[in-house]
Amino acid sequence: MNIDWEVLQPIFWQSLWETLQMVVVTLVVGGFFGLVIGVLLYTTRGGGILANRWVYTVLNVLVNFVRPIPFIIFIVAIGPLTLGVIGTTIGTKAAIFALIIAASFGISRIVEQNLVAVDPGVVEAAQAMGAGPLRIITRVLLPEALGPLILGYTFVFIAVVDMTAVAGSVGGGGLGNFAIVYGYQRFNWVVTWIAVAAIIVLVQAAQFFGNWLAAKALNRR
Amino acid sequence: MAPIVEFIDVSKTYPVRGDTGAFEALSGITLAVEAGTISAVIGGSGAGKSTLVRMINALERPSSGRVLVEGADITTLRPKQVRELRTRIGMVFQQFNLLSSRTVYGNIGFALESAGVARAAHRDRIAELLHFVGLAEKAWAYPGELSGGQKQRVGIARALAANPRILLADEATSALDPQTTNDVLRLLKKVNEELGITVVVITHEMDVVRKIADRVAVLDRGRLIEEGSVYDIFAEPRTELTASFVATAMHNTPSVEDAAALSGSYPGRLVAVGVGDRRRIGAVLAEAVRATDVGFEFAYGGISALGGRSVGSLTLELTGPDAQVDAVIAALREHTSVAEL
Repeated sequence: MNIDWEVLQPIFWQSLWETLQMVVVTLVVGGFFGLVIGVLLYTTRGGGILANRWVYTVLNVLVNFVRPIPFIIFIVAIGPLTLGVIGTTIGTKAAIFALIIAASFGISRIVEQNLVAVDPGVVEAAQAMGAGPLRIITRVLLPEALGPLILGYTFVFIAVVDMTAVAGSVGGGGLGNFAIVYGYQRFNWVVTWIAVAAIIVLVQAAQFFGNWLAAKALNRR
Repeated sequence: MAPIVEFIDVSKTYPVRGDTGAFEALSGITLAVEAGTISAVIGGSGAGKSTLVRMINALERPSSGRVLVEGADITTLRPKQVRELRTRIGMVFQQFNLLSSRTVYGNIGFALESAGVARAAHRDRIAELLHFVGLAEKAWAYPGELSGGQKQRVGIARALAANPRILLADEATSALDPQTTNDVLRLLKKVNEELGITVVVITHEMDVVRKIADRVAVLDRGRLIEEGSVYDIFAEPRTELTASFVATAMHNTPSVEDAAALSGSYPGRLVAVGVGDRRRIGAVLAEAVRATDVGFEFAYGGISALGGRSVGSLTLELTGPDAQVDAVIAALREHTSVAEL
């Protein structure tokens, strides 16, 4: 088995960079949309501070519709949409588009679940003090749920790394693509293992950082 | 002067899931709260007391009837006006409901923010409030580092932050031990006396009513069954439920078991006699002993004072010929309540 490191090394770094790009952009943009949808799911449900049956029902059905689709099928299925918006279905950009949509809906449930766990009495107290919905969301709900939310987003980070690898297998670039093209397809186990090792390091670092940050948020109380 | 809060024929019904009917949480409540008083709403769980009091700050809306707060009907207010109203009404909760992610300072600061108080004014106001509730040294503690009593003091400071006219206390002492309960009740009394704030207390404990309230309303399954001054309610409860609430705070009438046991050692007729000021029970008994063959003995009871007036109950054993005992009981009835055990 012949490995030409001279050739592979730059490709590896490029792939790692692509993975990081996909993960970070997805986490930031998808994280934001997921946060918004999650907050809406929580606040528009019956008895919520923005209770609105129509908005809740539409969002709830949408989230339930998208979430269970396996990502490898989802990324292919929304191909026409990706083509329309991005102009191609190949490469990092196209993958990021699909990643953001899938992550937004996934994250929204995690956000919603963590908000449900906030003591409703605290929300009632804020209402009794005359706080409006926006103030309650930004100054009460999100800060009160911060620790669990950080852990939720850490979980999402790792899920997104996994999704980028899937994206890589269908032309999305990144470490997944690297492992498939230079490892799997050339029967080169070592290259595959290098990709795996890089992903493990990435995930470990993220988990460690997330735990540390969440502990910091939770220790204050 | 017009009452600060008025409930006019207020009802609240909730639709029942999977049922064509509806659950009636409150029905036909008419009640006034005078400004400057401490008023209590007492009732068992599910009596509707929380629903009723939450209408004052529009956390609940009546299904029918009107709720007037300082003359304004809360059912006609727009959301912005509701928020403005709420900044003038403080509320404290059984579980304190403090923001766990903020310090004591931050918790009170949140109330000031919500009321639109300029940030520059926060520091002095928070220091003043913490001094008032006796927690000046805890400004930078998180709620998780405080005892229950301290948390409730923060809750009270927070509720007072925007200079409210009304303070609602929803079972404010029910999660506290007896000693802390007394401290917090004293603080609520101080809020009323020193700041002139009208306090509305929700409780299931008659002891709380006895210790701080001027007036009390008794709710039973959504109906107002009794309302009056605390003294009158304690001295002469008109319903069985109220009497049982009074008994829990006074411990001066024997339970059924006690009465059965007592009748072993007191063979005469046992009667529980209400004691209050100017009831002249001693005079009736003295006259009975002087003019008839009736004798008496004390078997059970207790008398305490409410607002400087004595109130209580004594269980007497009356001995002698039946007809004469009947006459003494009739004479007592002219002055007070008498229950034969």
